[in-house]
Amino acid sequence: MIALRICTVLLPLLAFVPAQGVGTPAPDAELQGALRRLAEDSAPDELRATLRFLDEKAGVAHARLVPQLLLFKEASRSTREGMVFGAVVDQLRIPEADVVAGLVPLFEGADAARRASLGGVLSEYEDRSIDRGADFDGYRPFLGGELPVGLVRYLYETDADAALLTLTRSRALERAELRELVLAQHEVADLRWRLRFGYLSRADLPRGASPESREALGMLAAHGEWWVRLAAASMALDEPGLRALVPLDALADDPHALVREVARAARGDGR
Amino acid sequence: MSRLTRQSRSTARRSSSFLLGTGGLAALLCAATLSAQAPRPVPGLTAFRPQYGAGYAPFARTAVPDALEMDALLGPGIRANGAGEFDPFGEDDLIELVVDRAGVGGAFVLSRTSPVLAVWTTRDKAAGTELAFTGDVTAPIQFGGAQQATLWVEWTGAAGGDAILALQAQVARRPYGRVRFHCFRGLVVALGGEDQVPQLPVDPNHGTYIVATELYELGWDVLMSDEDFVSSSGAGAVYDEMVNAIQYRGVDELAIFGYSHGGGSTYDLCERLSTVGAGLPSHTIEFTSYVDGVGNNSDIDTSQETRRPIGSAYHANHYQHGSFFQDLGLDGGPVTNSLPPPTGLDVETTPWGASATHFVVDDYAQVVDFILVNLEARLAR
Repeated sequence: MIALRICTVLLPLLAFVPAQGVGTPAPDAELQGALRRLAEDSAPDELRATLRFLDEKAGVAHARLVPQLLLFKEASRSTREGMVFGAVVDQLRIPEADVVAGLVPLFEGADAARRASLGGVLSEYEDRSIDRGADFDGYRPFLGGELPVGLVRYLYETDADAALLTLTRSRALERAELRELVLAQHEVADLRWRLRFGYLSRADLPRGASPESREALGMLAAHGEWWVRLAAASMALDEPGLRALVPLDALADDPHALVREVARAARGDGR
Repeated sequence: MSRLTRQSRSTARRSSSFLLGTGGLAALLCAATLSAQAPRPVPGLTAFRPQYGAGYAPFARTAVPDALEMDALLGPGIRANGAGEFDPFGEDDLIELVVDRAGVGGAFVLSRTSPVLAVWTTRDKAAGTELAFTGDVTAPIQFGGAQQATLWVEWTGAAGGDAILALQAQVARRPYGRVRFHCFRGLVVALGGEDQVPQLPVDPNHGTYIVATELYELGWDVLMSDEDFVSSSGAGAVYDEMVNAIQYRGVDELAIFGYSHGGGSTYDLCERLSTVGAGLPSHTIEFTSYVDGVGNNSDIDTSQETRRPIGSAYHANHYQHGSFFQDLGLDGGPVTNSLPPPTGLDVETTPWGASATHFVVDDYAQVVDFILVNLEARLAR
């Protein structure tokens, strides 16, 4: 249902934006002014009127309002201002799908600060469980066709295991290939779990890694799809203990710019 | 609000004096400030509270009061600079020590009671700047023509215990100042609300940071942080620093408290410690506190945080209730098995907090003092 709503929202949005997304939205003076009024300690009648105004001007599936809420959040300097985004989502009952669809295009071309602010909001819908990792299912409608590089970068930065699994399940892969990738993800995730929970220490690596996990990392790093190779590079960046198990020199010369960037960072070249 | 703050600080210091039974701590702190600024009549040593990252911010550079320099509890605390430590914020474990010759001629040396103390002339341990000890006594300190020399003290051995540095004239071995360093066992983590960034001077509307600053001045090791550095799974720079402290610095007691989203992050940190951190060396969470705790799954999370922090030995809880039209509808709520019993205090049931909103509840003197007094009584320095 969420996926269906996201598709509904995306169709009109995509009509106005280039393939790589909208980048930085321009502040909308009308909406920013209304959000500013909400952040002030105003009388109830005025607050009600402001909410009605925002509801009327929100656009189809809140597509006009949601990016403006992010801009307002990024400029906030107090707890009251900082909580306006969440309060408006509550009061106007903005669905998850509308928030996701309104923000995902902003990942394209986003710098680290913008990715952090987007992640600060979107984590509401990612269920970043300590034991199970993040749930990225809400992004699957964006991951079926030409991949949005900014979003893929964000997913791997947030949780590389969950990113690989979500991408694998979102792509139209042959059954055998899908099974191979899911198994590889499981083997590497198990190795990372052992490190995270202290059943294995970095000092035990690379010798302490199971043959299956070594093979899986090698397979990921040599895969034909860039987003799979990015998984290997991202996991090495995230966990220094894995760097000896991933062919970072080869990935540092990868045809895909993002794979090269992440591999070089994992190798210590800086980003 | 500033009236509440001043009252709070005064009350807190009175509380500390009462709890410690030493009396007149406020006077000591005041005297220390004066003595740190005025010329010393005799040579001596002045130690400072811990650094953070590249300096002292978000705290002010704070001298340990002269009268407390030999106090094993209230004197200068020092972090063990443990082997394997990854120093998330850079090398900041050394304690500043100012040696003042006060116009007295002749050479001065330092003596130590344990080789666990090393002394450097640079804060980041630049090569070739460590003072050599022979028989636990240094060569003459180089003042370079000045009246004062700044040195940096490092705790190099296993965590725990204390050790003394003493200043003396080289020839006559006449003793001047002495400073007792104790190795920190406790770590305080203070988390503000959404978009509350620690700053110097502390914002009078940031009650959490007022508590944190007070604790720092009273000698605790305090990590004061924006709650954005704690993700919804508890991971992030704050958790990394806690792990670093437990694993490599011998810290075995923690206090964690926060306001609004900082309350939610307090829960997230405790939950992560109870799962991912289960394999860490032995440690306890001696104190936690929420002030109008709001869940922190994201920057737009507006849910009440009413789960008790996992593993906390003592949980304080203060909250208020309102509506969208009062304070955007942001509320904390009752938390089972919290102090004041049984579920914490709805401050709107008190005369002083009857008109509370989410945006002022952290600033009440009564709330600030409750956290200060109860944390002080429970957490080792």
